[in-house]
Amino acid sequence: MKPISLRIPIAVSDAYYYMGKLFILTEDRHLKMITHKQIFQKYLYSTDVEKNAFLDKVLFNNDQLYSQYTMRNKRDLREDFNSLWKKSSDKFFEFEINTDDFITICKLPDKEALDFIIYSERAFIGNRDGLYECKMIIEGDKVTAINRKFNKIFDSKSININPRVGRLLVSTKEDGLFAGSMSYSGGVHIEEKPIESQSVRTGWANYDFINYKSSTEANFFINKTEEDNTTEARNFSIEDGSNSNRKITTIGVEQRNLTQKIQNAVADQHIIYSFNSLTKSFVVTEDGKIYHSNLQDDERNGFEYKGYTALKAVNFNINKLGYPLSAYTIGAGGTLYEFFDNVILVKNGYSQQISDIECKQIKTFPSSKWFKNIAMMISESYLEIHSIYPF
Amino acid sequence: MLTSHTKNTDGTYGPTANGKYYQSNPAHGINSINKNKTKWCISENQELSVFNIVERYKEELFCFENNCYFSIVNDGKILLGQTGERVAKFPRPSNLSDTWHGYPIKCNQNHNTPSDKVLDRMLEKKIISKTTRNRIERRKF
Repeated sequence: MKPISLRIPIAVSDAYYYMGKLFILTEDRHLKMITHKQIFQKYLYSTDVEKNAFLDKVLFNNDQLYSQYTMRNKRDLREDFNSLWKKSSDKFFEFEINTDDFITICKLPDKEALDFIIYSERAFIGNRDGLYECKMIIEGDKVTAINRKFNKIFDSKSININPRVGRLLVSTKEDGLFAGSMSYSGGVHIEEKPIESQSVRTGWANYDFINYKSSTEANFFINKTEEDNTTEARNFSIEDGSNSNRKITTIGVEQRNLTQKIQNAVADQHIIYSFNSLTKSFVVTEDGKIYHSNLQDDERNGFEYKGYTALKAVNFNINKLGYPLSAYTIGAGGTLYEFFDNVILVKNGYSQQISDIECKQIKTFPSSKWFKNIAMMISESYLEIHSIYPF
Repeated sequence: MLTSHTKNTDGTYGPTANGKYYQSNPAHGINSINKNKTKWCISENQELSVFNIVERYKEELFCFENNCYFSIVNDGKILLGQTGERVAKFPRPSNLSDTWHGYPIKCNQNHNTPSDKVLDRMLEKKIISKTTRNRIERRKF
């Protein structure tokens, strides 16, 4: 199934979905937001009640979608859902958002953002000058910046920001990978000493993480965790399949070189890109194949790569597409691959191009409750929001 | 824009508008079997046109931090190397009277990445777009 897609002609430097709101970084250097209710009521609402309810779920409330069980066992519901999906995914919903509909929250730092993320009611911006934080109060549809501005919390040029479980990983290329911790009511503290001397991005693997030093070189870091049922720990808890809350007590107690392990796993093939989800590792090889492997949790050894399997039906034409520039996972299952001037979705063993723009930024929200199936693509002229078929 | 140039009788190409001569390095050539070098995927007689894109701006686009020029064709739309490279590097020769040479690179290390200042000037001169500047800074190329 094709995604259901919105295309909004707007020049933004970055954007993010958080707590039912679309946050944007505007070209005139402001953080602004609009609620999904406003987007829906003003630009998508129709007289078709059934369609309205459907679009609201697939675009803004992914937690209200049918479960896999329901889709498998309730034929009528499945057919209705699929019929509405097909009708809605025929073409892009394209509309302009009136700039007056966005509410200004605060001014942005001087330099253009290289990464932007919102976590724990704080907006983080990484740019040439460092890492900035803006604490916000979000009450219903109202968003207020506590200090009315972004505060600088770290000095190295920050190109990738990756928070989870109350921890923050900051990639600064040759300045290294830095770890930070945050308290719910207090501030963010970034350690002065890097965990590793080089980092372009990171990927969390549940409570552990992988640091990527380039498109293919990677090290696996195992973190020490402990059960913690204090309010502070609950605020940063994640769904890990258990009923307890855990917090990371020590970052990187052990480090393992993964580059060679991955290369050995797909022997004879030159790896051109690797990345991971919380539970899986993915590899793209020069012949255009995708290999994947479970990151298996082993009590004694922590996460380890097991054997890689190739997705048989997928074979990128690397000569035509070039090398992947980045890749992402989607909550609904499936992976996204950014190439020079298009984005390809791989899901259920098949691939399809879902966008033909040159992306400045791509955002996915695999751990989000409401936006887990959403992929956001930002170019110099458009903001695209794609809802990926959830089954 | 890629254009073809005629080779001089001594094996060089040029001169450029600023009087520099260019000589292709066979180790980086299309048919090179050297596994330790990146290889062009464009013809030898097109390499000079990649150099010309930035060299015509003289010091304005020279990357003093890395002692070289970095160039890119059609905002990165044209692949320059056989393993996905879209940027080329032209290191300054030891002697100014020597010929220049270049090769395709991945911007995966500081010494293989244009400085912020050079990227901003390339943007000003419309050699790259904001998207390409962002992609290079984030190590996607």
